[in-house]
Amino acid sequence: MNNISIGRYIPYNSKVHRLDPRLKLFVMVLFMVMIFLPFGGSGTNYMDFIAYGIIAIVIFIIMAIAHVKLSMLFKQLKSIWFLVIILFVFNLLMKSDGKSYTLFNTVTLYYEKALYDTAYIFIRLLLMISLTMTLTATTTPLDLTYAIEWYLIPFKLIKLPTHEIAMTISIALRFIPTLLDETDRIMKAQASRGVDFQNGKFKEKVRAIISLIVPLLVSAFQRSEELANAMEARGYNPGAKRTRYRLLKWKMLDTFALILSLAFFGLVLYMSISNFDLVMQIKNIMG
Amino acid sequence: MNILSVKDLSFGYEKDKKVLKNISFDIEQGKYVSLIGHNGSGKSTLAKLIVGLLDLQSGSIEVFGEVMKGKNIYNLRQKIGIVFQNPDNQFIGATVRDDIAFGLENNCVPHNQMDEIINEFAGKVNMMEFLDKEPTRLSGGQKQRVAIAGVLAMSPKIIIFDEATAMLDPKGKKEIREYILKMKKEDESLTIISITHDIEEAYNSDEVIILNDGELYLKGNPKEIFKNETKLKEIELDLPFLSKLKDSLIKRNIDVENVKTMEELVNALCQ
Amino acid sequence: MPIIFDHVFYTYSKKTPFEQIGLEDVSLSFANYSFVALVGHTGSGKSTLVQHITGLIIPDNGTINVDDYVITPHKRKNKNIRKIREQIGIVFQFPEYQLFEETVLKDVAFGPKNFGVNEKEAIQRSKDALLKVGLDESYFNRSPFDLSGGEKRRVAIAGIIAIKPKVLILDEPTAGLDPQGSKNMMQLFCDLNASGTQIIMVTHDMDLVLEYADHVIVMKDGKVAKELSPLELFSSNDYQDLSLDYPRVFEVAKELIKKGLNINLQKIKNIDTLVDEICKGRDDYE
Repeated sequence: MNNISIGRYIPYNSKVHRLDPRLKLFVMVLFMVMIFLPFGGSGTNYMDFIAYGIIAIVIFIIMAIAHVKLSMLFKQLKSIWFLVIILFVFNLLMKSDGKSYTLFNTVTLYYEKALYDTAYIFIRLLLMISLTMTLTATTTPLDLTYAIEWYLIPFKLIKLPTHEIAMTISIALRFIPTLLDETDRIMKAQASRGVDFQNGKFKEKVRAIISLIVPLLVSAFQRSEELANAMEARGYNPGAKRTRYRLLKWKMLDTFALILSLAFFGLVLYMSISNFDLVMQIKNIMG
Repeated sequence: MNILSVKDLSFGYEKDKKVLKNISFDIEQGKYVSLIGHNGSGKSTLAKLIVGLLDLQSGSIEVFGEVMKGKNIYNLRQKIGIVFQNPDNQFIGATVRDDIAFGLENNCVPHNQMDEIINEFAGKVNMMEFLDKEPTRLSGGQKQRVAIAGVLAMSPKIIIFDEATAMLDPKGKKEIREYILKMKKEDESLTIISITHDIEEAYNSDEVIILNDGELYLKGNPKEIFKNETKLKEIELDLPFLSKLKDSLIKRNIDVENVKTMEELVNALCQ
Repeated sequence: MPIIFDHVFYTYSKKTPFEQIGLEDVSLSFANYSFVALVGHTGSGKSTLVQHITGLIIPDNGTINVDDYVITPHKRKNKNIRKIREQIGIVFQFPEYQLFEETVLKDVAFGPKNFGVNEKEAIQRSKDALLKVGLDESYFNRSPFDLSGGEKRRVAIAGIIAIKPKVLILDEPTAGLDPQGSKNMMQLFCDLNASGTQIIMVTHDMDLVLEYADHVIVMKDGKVAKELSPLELFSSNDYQDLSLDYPRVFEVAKELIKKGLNINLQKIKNIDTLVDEICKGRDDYE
């Protein structure tokens, strides 16, 4: 339970850590869009990879500045490699053109296209994981919540209680580690009473899960009641006016980062729209 | 001056089951009062009523001579702080800093004054170096220290400790007790109500209130109250270590009746 | 039951920025003692240690022998670990949070049934266990969630006792109880101990250590700092360096000895035995 590192904030005083969370959230969305853009038009399939390579390099540079270690990324990959293999097998069976290999004269496996498609999805997945990981590692959940609250401001017009929503999210985030610890504790307590969470028949598994869920819910309800009491006792009155301790401050560094990101986004967008083919360009220049 | 007076207070979560029965008492400003009694005797319910977390059913509570009622509750609540038992369930902010700020935000303290106040009160409980730590990285005792800082930052007149040390290890318990005594020393007008199972703590406070089965069983000076051993034994309440030891010695015909401290006891035995 | 730790290492959140030492080179044996107390500060590794005994935590390095079963760092080799869990029961801190069934009786019978005890036998054992912890028939069909905190804890403990373990591990069993509740709880463990159950108790309460334990293991920073008898522990010269409390009766006894009263420290366990010794000492005096 203690090994979950995706989505975890890693305290460090890097430039990326210091950026405004609103900017970081926006830039992440920009990069997500970039990852889903088509490159090189139809026919050329290497251009996708070249573009992804460029995006990856930029992401890795950001990660380096943020002191987010690549080893953390590889740890995350461990949990998806199984998915990738299934995807490959699936692709292998579904594809019907390109280079192929015939097995026992009966099954034809179009390995080239399968490999390509799997790699394509894998790289996208990898880039998305790197992005979210960098965002959450460099931004406290609370700052992220404030950023979300800021983006929700327009919805105040339709009477959306944005501040209360933000408060709810931040408390939920605050209690995730506590509840994970609790889950671990209850699992161990029930394991000591002979529950086997891994093996067993379906019926036994259902019982095992009930023996975990019920105590977890009971305790979560108790916690929420106590928490509500503590908040009220300290003067919290939903809907009432309150001041803010954390204020988001836009700095020069943020403007600079925003310009840089938009420029990069423009470049990638251009590559996509113009069906830019790097290899052809280089060939042309070389004559 | 009476800072708190409770009159004819009765309360029940269910209709026919009263948790508190006709309780009346006054507490003077600046006193350290221990509220003791078995689990389920109604101590925590009483605390919640005093802080205004539960609605009164019958009887009244006055703080500084003002009746706690309706909108007045929000005003009076600012004068009363409470530290609960479970360190995890009262840590609201994402970090120590944010948690202390939570109460300030509710009280509409201007942003530019907050850091100063946070630093001051974090300093008082020696949590300066942990300001940016998340609650999962803190020990139970440290979390309770933050809770105390959060309450102190609102400058209350009464602070209630609802078994605030019950879930801590001995080191944490000791720490919290020391901080309570320290803040009492710094501000003598501060009134403290400590709900506790620690008989030694009760013995050393200014006044003791004993609840039994929802009723006010005894109230008064601890030195007097703990003398009345038969009355305490009747409700199976634990006695201070010194009293227990004296009691056993007297049963063996060793005359230590008039001994008041452990030192005196040791001397009396070695005569 | 022989429980032997052989150079056990364990690290929490390994290879992350939150790495924390759990156990460091722990070698010890629980074989020859009937009531072992595990003491040390929070985070010193007491709870981590006991969780290794029933394989709730698998060591990074080293082995643990329990009876003829060996727990190794390789997860896959630790099959049938439930056999150990049937023989060694753990009562965690605040065990009242593990209740989940509709009735008290069903909840207590949950454990035995999981270990393959038939329905009838499981119910019988549960009834016996509930009576042992001081909850009579009127409690059997109540919902565990309607009970008071102290009663809930007793149900949870009955749930472990009903499995009939040979060894009972207790992690701070009296934490959060009122003094009367703690006393009853300790009496229960004492009775179980007297009827042959080996007890391993994690505690901060030195009064309990002096009164009940026949052997103490002191943990510090994930290592075993000391292994000795309670008397040896409390009279050792460097005890203060561990910054643990003294048992109160022991403190008084030491004061009295200083003043010249003849008291045999070995005999002192609680107030009653202290008073016995004082009377004897005073007789000698005169």
